[in-house]
Amino acid sequence: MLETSYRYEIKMNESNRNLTIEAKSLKVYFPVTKGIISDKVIAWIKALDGIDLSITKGQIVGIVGESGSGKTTLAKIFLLLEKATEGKVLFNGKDLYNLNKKELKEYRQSVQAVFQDPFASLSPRLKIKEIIAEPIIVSKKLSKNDIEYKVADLLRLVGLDPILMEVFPHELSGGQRQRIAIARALSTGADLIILDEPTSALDVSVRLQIINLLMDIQKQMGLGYLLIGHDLAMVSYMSTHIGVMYLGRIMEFSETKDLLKNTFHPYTKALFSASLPTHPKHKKISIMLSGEIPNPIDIPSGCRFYPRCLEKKLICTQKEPSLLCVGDKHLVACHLYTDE
Amino acid sequence: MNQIQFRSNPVIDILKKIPKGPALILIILITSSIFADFLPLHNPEIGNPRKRLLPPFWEERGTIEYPLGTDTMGRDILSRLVYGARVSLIVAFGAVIIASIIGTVAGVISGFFGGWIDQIIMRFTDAWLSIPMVMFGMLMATIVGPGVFNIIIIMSLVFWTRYARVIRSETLSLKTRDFVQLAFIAGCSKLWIMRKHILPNVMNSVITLASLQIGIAIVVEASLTFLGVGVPSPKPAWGLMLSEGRGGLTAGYWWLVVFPGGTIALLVMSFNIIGDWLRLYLDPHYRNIE
Amino acid sequence: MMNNEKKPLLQITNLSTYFFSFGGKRIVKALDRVSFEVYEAEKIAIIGESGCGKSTLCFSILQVLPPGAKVVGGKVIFEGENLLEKNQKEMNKIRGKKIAMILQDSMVSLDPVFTIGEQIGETIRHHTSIKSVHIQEKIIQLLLSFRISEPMKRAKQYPHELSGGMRQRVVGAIALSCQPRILIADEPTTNLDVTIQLQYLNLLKEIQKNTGLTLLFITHNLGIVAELCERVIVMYAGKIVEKSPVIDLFDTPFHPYTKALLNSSFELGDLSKKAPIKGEPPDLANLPTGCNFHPRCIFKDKKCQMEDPPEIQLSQNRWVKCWKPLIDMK
Repeated sequence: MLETSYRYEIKMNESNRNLTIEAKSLKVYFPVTKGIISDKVIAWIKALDGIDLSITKGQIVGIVGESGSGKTTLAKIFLLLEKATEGKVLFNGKDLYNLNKKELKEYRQSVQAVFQDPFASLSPRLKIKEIIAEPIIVSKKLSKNDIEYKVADLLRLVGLDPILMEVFPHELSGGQRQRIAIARALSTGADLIILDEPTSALDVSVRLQIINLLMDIQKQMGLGYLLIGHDLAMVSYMSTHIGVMYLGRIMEFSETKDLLKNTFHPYTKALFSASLPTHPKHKKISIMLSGEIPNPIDIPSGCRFYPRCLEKKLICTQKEPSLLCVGDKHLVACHLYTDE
Repeated sequence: MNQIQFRSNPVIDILKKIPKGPALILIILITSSIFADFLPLHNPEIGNPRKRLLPPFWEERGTIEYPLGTDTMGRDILSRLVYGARVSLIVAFGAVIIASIIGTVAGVISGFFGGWIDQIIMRFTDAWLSIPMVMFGMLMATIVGPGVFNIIIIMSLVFWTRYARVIRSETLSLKTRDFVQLAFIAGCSKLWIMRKHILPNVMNSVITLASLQIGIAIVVEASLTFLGVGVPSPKPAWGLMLSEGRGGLTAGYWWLVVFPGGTIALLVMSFNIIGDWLRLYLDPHYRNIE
Repeated sequence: MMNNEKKPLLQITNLSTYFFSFGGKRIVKALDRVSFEVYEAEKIAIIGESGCGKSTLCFSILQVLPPGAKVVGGKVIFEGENLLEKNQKEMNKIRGKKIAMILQDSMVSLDPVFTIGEQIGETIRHHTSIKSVHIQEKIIQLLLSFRISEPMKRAKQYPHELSGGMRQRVVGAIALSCQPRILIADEPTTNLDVTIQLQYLNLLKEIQKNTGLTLLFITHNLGIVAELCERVIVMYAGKIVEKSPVIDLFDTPFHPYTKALLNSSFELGDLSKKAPIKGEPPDLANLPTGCNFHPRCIFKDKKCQMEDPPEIQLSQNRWVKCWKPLIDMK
């Protein structure tokens, strides 16, 4: 339950329609250039190498992956901080890169973000009031008086005393700052929030507070979340759906409850295994992957996971598996599950 | 929430921590130059030829009427020092303020937009930096003629590049910080971000740089004036006192040079110490370390 | 496991370390009368959140505290001598050779302008009298024992050329190059990917088994404690609140903080709603009266708010500092 029963009434987006963002065959390649005068491209960092994903209002889609998986790049694409090299990114069916000014403004108000580091997310020289109100001021939808009321509402919503409006960020703790970041993300009535490791930089005893807050807000307001994390246990606690990414592609995707019962992809199994036990007597048989995570510049041919895979077949070295359906809305990209 | 009660008053905080010696020197010099007209001083521009070349009062021929002695035209050294401070400070502050405005704007635009805008501004800055300062000053002064206002403009044209480089690199690092990215995500325009997020956060560097530059500006002005292309005679200016008094050194009239030179050194050192202190003082707050 | 007839390898008694700032007016009590023992070949975890004092503890033992911090009391007895009474020259012989430490950030632990081989070699040369001819061999041996592939090639590489997991192994290799008796590991896997973390923990387990190394593992991650360690010391706000063998701790925690911490950890497969600990860790310069944890404790009463809790030795192995330990609760 939220610490305050104050209902968040003033909504920016009057529409109650469904909101969906999608990535279709999304590829994001960063060039590696050489030379001082001529920028000759000698290699590509394939941050995202063919992603198909959709997030709809009401869902919490969790993305789990390690370094080089591309999960942060995915967040940046949806936040228009990076541009796709290939493929499409759609907002309610419309191409994100072909929006007119009005539609772009609507997008900005509908999709907001909360980042990992609460100490870097708040502008040091602005008061909390200005930080939370900034997205509203920029959207020019409320008068000055109303803005102050709204900021007080938002502070109460995230469990803080409205008096903190007049304070500067350096006077607050990490947990409080992250709450402010959440309040700001909600200020324009966004329907979709992108959460990039929202609790990793917080003290352990504070993490669950923030996680519960996020989940309560999501439930009460019917929001959609794209939750990016590296802790499978935490992500599965929060999410309705989970996608497992490796080196720029999705290896497995399904509803959380289903994934916890039926794990198909060898990498997912390894991630499950790497999730440490919660009791010393629950030590499991560990699936230990050999080797390092490859660099996204140098992606193995065939299935990108094959060098570390413990269940590989010959075809894995030759052909990249596509993401196919193997159960009730359960997708896997693995040759073990295709008839070849 | 107890936090607001524990906030310290920044003015009192500064008063407690500022280095007292240099601060006192600066206060004395600055206030006396502002209120020079109300102090019991002699006319700095017109002297009494019958009282020329008197030594400071503690020497044999000196009198308390002219405490630090007189120069070749019979003008009181002390009065010229005080009025000269006015000129030097106006020129130095004026040049530094204008230079910091030009330099900061150039640096922020360059760092923020990147790409070809950055390239153009930076190459221009590099080219400008390669011009020798004093020569450029001399050249410009001969073209536009001497005068306090002209000198301010010329000097600011010389100084702005230092700001541009430093502020540009600060802007580059700020641009990647989360709160700036979040401002883009919120739909803020580029101008808004520069104004509300970049500018306030580079101000610390600007202030620190400016306080350190004032010392340099004082010396540059004195040099230009010494060379004859700065503030014109008979206005009281330290550089002029130095150039006019130079000949008298070998003849034993040491006070013509030692007092103006010493005052320049004292003032520059004080500004430098305060500037260094300011840099340390402003830094921890900015970095959010208690 | 714990034999009270054996003498402890490391015995810490009433260790207190304070940080002084603002001309001595602000005192942060980073460690407040901390006492515990470490026996040979044990794997001990020190668990707590940021600010609990676990890192300060390690720095105090090795006397590498930052400026402004001072040990104000207590004893650190190692091999019969009090380390706190030693000067820097004597400590130099102990650091690295008898007690080694590895840190969280491997990039910061390594010098970027020297190769891996040179850095390992430097430690060996400093502490032992092995001839240069043999050092090369020893370096390769060490790299292999840490499962670093192609050791000849790696020894010639610079830190930035290696991945995070590889670097952390190099740091471990440097730490163990002179066969110390105790290894203090301060959150070495926090920056690593989970699959790499698993490899690293297993490696540590293996090395510990083969060499009988005593391991002092600092972490905030209960999963690592469950996976790796035999005994646990729980710290909060500069004080130790509970000491226990690991299985007992997870089965029946005695201190409310330990219990709350266990309740808020995530388990894969368990989607039931969890209750968080309310409030935040205290400011170490403005600690509450009585028990440091009482503002956040659901079991607190008057005594907890007023007086410092007693230290209770419950059995040979279990110890708790609390007015209302959860002894009868299951």
